[in-house]
Amino acid sequence: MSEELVTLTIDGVTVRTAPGTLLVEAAAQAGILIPVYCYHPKLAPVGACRMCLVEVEGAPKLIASCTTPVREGMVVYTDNQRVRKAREGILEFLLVHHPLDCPVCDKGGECPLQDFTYQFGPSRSRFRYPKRHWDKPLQIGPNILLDRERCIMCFRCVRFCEEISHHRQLGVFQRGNNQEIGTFPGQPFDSRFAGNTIELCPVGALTGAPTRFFGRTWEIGHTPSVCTGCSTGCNIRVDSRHGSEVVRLWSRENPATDDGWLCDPGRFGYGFVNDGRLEEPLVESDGQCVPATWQQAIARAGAVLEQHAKAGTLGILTSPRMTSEELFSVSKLARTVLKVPHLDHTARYVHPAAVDLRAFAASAGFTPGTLRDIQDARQIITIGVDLSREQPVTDLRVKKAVTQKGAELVVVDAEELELSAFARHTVLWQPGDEAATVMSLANAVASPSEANGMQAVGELLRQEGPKVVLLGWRVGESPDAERIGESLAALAQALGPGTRCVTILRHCNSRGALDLGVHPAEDPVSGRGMSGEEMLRAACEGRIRALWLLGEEPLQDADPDLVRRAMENLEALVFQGWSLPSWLERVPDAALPSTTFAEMDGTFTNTHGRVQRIFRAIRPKGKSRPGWEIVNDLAQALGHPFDSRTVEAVFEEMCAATPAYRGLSWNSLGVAGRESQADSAAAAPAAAQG
Amino acid sequence: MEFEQTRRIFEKARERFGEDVSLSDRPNGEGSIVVEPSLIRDFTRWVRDEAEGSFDFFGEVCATDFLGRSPRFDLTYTVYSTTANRHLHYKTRVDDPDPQVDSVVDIFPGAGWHEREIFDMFGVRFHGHPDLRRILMPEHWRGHPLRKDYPLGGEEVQFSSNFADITPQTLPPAPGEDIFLGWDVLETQPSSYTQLLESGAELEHDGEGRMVINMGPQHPSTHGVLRLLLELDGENVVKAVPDIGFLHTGIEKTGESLNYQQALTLTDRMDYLSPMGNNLAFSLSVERLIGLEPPERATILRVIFAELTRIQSHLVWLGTHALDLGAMSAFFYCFRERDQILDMFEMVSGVRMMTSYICPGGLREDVTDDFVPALERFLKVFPDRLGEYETLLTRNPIWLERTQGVGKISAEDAVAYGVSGASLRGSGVRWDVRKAEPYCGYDTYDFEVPVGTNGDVYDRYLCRIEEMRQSHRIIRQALSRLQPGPVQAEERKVVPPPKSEIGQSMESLIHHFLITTIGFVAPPGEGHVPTETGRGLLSFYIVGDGSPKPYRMRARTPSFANLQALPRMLEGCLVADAVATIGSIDIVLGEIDR
Amino acid sequence: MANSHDVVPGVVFSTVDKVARWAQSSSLWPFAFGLACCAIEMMSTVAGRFDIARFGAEVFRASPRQADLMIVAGRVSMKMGPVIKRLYDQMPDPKWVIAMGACSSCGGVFNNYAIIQGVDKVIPVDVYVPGCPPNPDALLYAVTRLQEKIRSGEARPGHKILEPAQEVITVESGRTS
Repeated sequence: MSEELVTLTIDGVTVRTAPGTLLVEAAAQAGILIPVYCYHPKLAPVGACRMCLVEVEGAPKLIASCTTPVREGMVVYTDNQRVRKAREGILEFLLVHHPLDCPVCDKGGECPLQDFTYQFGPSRSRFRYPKRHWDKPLQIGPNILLDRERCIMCFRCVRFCEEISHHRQLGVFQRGNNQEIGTFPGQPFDSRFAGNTIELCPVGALTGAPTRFFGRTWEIGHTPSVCTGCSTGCNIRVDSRHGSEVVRLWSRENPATDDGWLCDPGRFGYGFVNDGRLEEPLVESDGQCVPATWQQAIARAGAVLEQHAKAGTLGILTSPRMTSEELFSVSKLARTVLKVPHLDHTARYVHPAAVDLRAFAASAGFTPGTLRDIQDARQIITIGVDLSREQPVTDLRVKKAVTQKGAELVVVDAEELELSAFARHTVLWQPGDEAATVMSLANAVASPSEANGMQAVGELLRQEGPKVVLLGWRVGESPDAERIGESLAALAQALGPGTRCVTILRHCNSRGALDLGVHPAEDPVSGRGMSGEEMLRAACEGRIRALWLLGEEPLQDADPDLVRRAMENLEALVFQGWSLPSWLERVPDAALPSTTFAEMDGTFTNTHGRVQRIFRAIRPKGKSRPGWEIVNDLAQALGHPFDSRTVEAVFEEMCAATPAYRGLSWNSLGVAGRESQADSAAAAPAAAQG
Repeated sequence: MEFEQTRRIFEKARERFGEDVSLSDRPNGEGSIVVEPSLIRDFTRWVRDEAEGSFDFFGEVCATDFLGRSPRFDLTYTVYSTTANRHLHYKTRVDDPDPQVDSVVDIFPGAGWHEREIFDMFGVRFHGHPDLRRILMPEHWRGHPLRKDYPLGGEEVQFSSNFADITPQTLPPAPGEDIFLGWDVLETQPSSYTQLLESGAELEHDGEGRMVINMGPQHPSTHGVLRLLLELDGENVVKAVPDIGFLHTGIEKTGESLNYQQALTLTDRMDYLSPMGNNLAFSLSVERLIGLEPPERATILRVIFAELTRIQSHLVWLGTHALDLGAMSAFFYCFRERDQILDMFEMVSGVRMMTSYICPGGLREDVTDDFVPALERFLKVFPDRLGEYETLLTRNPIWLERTQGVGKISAEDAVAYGVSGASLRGSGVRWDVRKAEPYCGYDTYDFEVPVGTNGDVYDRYLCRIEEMRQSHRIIRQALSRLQPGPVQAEERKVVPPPKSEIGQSMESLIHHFLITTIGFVAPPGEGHVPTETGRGLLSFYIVGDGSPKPYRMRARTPSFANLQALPRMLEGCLVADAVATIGSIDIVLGEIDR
Repeated sequence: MANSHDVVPGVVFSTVDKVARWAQSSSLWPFAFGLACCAIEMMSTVAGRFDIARFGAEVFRASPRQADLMIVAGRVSMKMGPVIKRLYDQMPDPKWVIAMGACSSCGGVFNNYAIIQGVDKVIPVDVYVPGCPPNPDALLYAVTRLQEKIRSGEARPGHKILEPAQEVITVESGRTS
């Protein structure tokens, strides 16, 4: 953009910034801190708290820098006597009714009210009167506690609900002294994004119920990592205590994936790390699971795997929530040592043509896109994916594009979705009729004269782009996927070249599993193996007699009846994972405890192909070890030791062997990750950037 | 030392050196003159010979690592004038890679060990230094610990939650198993001396056999873990080379990772014979940095405790010194009085020795009701007791025989080496920081500073005895001035509010919370206040960076400089005299090695 | 100790072991090994008010060859570690070690590059005395506990230098390796 920059002076420092920049942001660019409470870069400014008052030459009163855009030649003072007095005064007022809760308040130690009071506020109180009181805390939602006494009325929480999540569940009630934040009568604050208000709240008014009294921030370890809830790959900060338990997950903004927000299932879904863990290796003995040493368990597992691999009766199901290094090691063991072609990361039915959904979309003619492309789009089409439930943080991105950037949304699915409220059009398809519906849509876009009832949609989608299509995994699981693919090709043609497609996959490392070839479709060496679903069927028929199950996700997602019958029929089961599923009605021959994401280093690849590092936050629980280490041991036991002994070495080996990851190096991933090669043939420049 | 005085000297320096000197930009500090590295020798000579005040006493040179800034290292020199009663800071800046500057050891011999320490801790090389070796860290140590990119080290502390995971660390090695890999003790010791000999020291080879013996690090008379390599010609000491670092604790580096209140507790453990003296020096420097004045009552009590500490330190000195020379009874008598003083410390702070009672802002708490009566009881009996010690020793022929004429050092040498305290005053230089650059209102008290004439062990002994008497005098005066009042400054951003307020006032609660958990914030700048402890000139040089932790916490300790002069004192004496001399300079290894 | 129907006036019956242990415990000869601040409190313990001589332990020897109790009073730096090991090895058996103060027990206040985190990484320790520095009373209590320990005849394989130790056990804490 070759706009003229605006020049102004702040505290004697000359600052040049784009026109329209708010004064508080311009000061931040110059390295000058202006304290704020109600201002937040992602929310529209309101000027409610008055903390950001600064003196501007020529103005008789102090000005709120969060609502004032820069003007050419402005002279601003942020640290003179008048401003300091104002800040002290504002803080004094804020503290008048603030309860003396610091010792028991979760926010203490990371509290902007405390910090600004120390830096800018009064040292002594002049307030001698009783403070106003509320019942506290109120559990206003399953995850949120509200303490109205602590609230300083910055309205960030209400604004978040109105502007970002659009789950309008919070409001401001009453006036003056009695003003309070609350929910609407009878309505809980159960938004899937409620947890973000805990981070936004500058005091301890909104705190997390599951994380209440987690500890103090200075005794907590902070480690960057990635959430494993869905395939967005939201960057998180794992807060851990004593190096042994996870107490909290916090957001860590990455514009490429999460845009600064987390969803509640992800934020509060770390219990599986601390509890219910498989903590030591088990072997089967007399129909029971008994604790064993690693050596014994590996020997037992190795024996089972070897025996059934030789007989061709072994199937391997890995979890798509394992790190790429673990998946790569398993795949390497399967292909090169065990020579087992039956390797998959899901036991749901997936149409063979759509195993790799991104390749499926690319072959239909779409350019692979990234999640970030959503907010620059003018038209967004979701096909077969309910973002609100299946990838919530992306849902926020779509809402942002629609409400703040003026994008138009078209939802294509079996029923009205939550996002339909934001869509210009919702196109419904009948189950079994997906291909035809999409073809009609394509035709409506391609020719204005097509009279199939979708003229309006067609006209909308014919407008100038950029256009982004979000394609959900359910499309790949349709038996009709091939025909749907043809329809998609027509749609791609109609929408025009440069239409980006982001395929929404189910689990946090589904993309990694696909990139690493952990599926039966591509295997030049052993021929085509069975898919996960086929393995279960084969198990029912006795063609597969042993299963190496890593993680519970493959079976958890599958048809429970099929799973039950398969389990009954298996001769042997080797389980590797972080917790032995209670619904597994079979005693495994060997159970090998592996570490969760919080206990090891590794990488995940998010749905659009961004490879992101996770860092070890806590010690492995009990005797658990990283999956790739366990596989190394198995390889050794089977007589073919692997060379790569560190996670870094595994990563390097993995990248060398995987086309999509060529050019990546361990150190270059940093804490924000890098994009992998989406599809060498059709990779657009944006997708290949880091 | 006021900024204006520095500025005046700077003006003169400007005339002489032109643009190569500049004034540092902290006008509310003491100010320091920044000198181009190439001119450091000329400037040092100018400062010693021509500058207003003729700075003859070398205080210290210390380094600060400003990682990320170019030039990276700041070398701060502090020199004192024993005649004009002022001091001066001047700095030079050197950069990575391979930082180096000229040594000033031939101008101020006292710079020798300080430069070695900077080499050891920071890796800055000094051209022309006769013996640039590591001084505190073991010889074969890799890395320079006080650099900011050198990790603090240490190991994970074992709690019940991680007990099973780190147990292996805490088991001792099996007998025969060496935990210091690649480090053969037997090899280190002889080679270090060989290196010493090769490093440029002059040896007169007169054909006769010389014996090198090791005194320490474990020795009853070295007053700590000091190792002296004595080159003997029969019973005569030809050369003595101290080898220190056996008690190096990394206090300065640890202080950088703690906030100011926590770092205070480390200072107790430096000169462990005068813990409150260290607390006082540290507190004064921090208060100088922040710009805080403690209230009147706190200042008076500080004087009382400083003097009690001085008495108690001298008592230990006397007891152990006499014990070394065979007068065992003195040891028991001295500790009798000392225990009385320690009881008083325990009354006010709960701890006998490491009280951390004097803190930035004033005192931790007011004295208890039983303190003043106890103090008065002590003051009543002490002069007679002091008389008892003198009766035992001062005119005792054995004592006179062993201490007179032994361990002499001339006044010029003592000043040039930076020797301070009674070790300096024994040689006739009447310089006591309490009189020269008063702090805590010492200029309002009536007391004498005793000096000796010969600079031998006996004169130093007499000086210290008299100092105890004068301390007693000061305490009497201070006690008479004591009025009720607060003992902590009222600055709520530094001193936490009283507990009673925390339940009433939101602001107080917040300030108490933050000051207790994170610590109070000190502004960017420097704080330096010289004080006089029982051993001599003690000063802390604190560099603040706007955070709750000191960026640099440097302790200029008297024993470090005094020990440097020991070889000089030991020239030509007998081995037995070495014992007497070491005792007489009253060193504490804790503050030498830090 | 005495067998009641064999009482002979002026004669006490016992076992050689017991008598030896009683003698050892009642006349411990400490090795003068003050390192830092704790050494000053150790000196106070020797002085008249607290008087370690009551417990028979006033004979502080300067040479390790003549001592049987090493009171490690103070912090052990990296440079000092080998020296302590050497001195300990020079002490003749039977010998005991009291780690006086927090620094010699576990590194104390100083968890950094310079200080060995507990002298028990270098030599086996019998009694740990917490404190910074411990009161002379605490040190005396440690001496009495050590005396009890000596008299009880507890095995101290950690101190064996005649047989190569397969395990190293610090008896006081009750943990085995």
